[in-house]
Amino acid sequence: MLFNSFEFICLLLITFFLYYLPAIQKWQVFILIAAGIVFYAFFNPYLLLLLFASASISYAFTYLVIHNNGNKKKLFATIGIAINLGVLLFFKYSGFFADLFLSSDNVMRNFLVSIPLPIGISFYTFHGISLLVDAYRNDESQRWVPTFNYRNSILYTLFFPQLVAGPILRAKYFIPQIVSKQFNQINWVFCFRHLLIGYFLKMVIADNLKEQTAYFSEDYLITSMSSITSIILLIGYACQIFADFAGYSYIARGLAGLFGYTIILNFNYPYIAKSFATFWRRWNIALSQFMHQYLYIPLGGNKKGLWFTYRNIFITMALAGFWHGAALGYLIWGIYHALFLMLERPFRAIKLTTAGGMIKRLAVFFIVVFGWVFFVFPEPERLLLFLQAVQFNWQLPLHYAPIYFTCLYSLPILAFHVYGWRKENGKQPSPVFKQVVFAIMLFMIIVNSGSAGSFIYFQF
Amino acid sequence: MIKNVVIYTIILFISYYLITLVIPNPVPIPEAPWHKNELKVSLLKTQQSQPPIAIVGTSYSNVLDMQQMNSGCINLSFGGHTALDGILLLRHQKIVPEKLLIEINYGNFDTTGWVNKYIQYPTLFSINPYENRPTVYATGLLVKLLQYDYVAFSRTGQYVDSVAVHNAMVILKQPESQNHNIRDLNNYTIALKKNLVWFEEQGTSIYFYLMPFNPELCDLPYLDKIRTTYLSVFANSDYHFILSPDCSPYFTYDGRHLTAEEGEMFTITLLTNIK
Repeated sequence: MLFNSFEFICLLLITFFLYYLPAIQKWQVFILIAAGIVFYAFFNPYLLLLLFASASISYAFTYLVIHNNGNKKKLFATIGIAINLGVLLFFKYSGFFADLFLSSDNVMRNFLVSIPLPIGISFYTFHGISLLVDAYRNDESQRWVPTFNYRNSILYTLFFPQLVAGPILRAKYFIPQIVSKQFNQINWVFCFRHLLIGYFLKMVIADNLKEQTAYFSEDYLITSMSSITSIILLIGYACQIFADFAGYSYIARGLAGLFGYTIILNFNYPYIAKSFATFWRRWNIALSQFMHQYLYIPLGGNKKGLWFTYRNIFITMALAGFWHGAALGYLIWGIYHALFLMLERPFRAIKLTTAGGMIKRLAVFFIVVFGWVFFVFPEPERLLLFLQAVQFNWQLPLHYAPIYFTCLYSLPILAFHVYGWRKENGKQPSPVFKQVVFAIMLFMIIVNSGSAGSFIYFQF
Repeated sequence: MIKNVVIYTIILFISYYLITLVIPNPVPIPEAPWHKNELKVSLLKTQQSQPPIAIVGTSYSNVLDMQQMNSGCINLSFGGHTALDGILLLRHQKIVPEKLLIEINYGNFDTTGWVNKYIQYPTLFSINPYENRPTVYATGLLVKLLQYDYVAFSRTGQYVDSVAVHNAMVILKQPESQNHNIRDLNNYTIALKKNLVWFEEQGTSIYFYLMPFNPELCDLPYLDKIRTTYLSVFANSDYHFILSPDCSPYFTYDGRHLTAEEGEMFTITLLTNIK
């Protein structure tokens, strides 16, 4: 069920109405769980069993972690995390490894390759891990423990605004929010703003850019594009994936706000990052924080010297890349970012002039854009075709129509980031200007939306 | 804040509506194959009389030059979709052409479903409020206001050199690539036959034709398979076949799609064959 589908609007309206109905207000959590079940069942009702099994196992082991001490506590946390990772490995990666190591006529290989990827599995298994780790760590996060029970644990996993594509919520921030909500507490302006930006990014920008970057879907089209067209379409893809995922995250945040919940701001103008480290503090912030807190720090972070730091960056980024999908391209994408993170590390302290800073921002932007080729072409053969086309097709004529529309739909993303940059420098446009911009967004959603397409991150 | 945004949006709507009134008979400005398809469907709604010729096909037939045909002829070639989509639409709209030209270069079910969605939910299909002018997208209007010659604009880039065509053809010659095009050929032709009965009962003459490819691709095994399948499934003297086009004059811009000039050239050939 897409956020911009007719079915979703119906589900949202019904859930919202029931949620704030005074007579059944005490059932609010169950209403949200029921909405999550309907939302997920639209993709595949049978996979609900796996979702419930995963969430229930995470609950059971979290319960054991909370009610035990010492080695037992550690053991239960380890088993719980291992089960979650096992589920993720089996459903997401077993086909990839079977394809890599077993012959094509092997029965086991064919079985593993045929297993469908359960939608949202990368997100809900990570929720399970967050639950276990937050319960295990003896810090301020323990404040949520008194409110922990099976019902709340299930809502944490099944909260429909973030169920299938995140952002990954930390248990210690979400579970304490599960209390009775009042209609008059809704921050309407916050919700309206987030929903409007989200739907604009998704329906007007991402869905229209999708039509142009579709040139990447056919091998013969890749080979027949001029180098400049290919490069511009790649920049278009960078804008598309931002608009698609940030759009989803904004919508999720707005929807959560309608039900009285606050979820993390997942994107903070990533394309104006002045370094790769800051890029990862601005792009998919929830995943970055998750990987940082639950992998990089436990590995030792930067506390054990330079080489260990490099090793930890490499492992964290490679796994973060591979988390996106069972294909070599995603792994290479993670390693690609790891290399640049390592490369810039010794030069972090160098102060740059304003012009130098701008050049560095642009360099980071173009390196990040180039990195998206591993996303667009996760298979090495197709990546090679594209790189050959970029290298050799300089003499071919430009494809003006896709170039024009790619630039046109990428412009709002540029403007969005310019706004972010000015905002960070203390320059805010007038309220009237902002309202006119919001009106233009609403107008464009109505008259200029592209064909509804699935969110890119659904496949992860 | 919300109230102000709504007021400004209404002002924008009114301005937009006024602009669309100022520009008479706007030239459709499709941005992508999906828009081109939607445009063709919307024009079908205004079809007044039964057309002398209707063409159904894929993106290959998009290039056929409708200006060479009598007015009222329609081309329902959908990029990314099949001839069956066009046939379903004609049936749904109860449009009975004198001659129905069916392009058969592609035969699998991968892409059908789009038209069914349109037929089932026509009002949900397009959310543009200007039902009579759904083709004027705000961004397209910008192109129009800047007075671009869109037809020339959209054709630029079709003229690629032999290196690109060669590269594309290497891929197209691969067996997997060929098999993809006919993965569901038997079921597809059976579905086609079932849907053609209605047109035959109305007296429509049915022509099957193959669009020419680059000469190097004209004899690909999968095209032979298509020819033999159609000749066996539609083994009836009432059907007409144009299955062996002379590919030699056509270079194409990607191995399979004709350039605009080549499209004009093949339209003449096609019209000569159906006289």
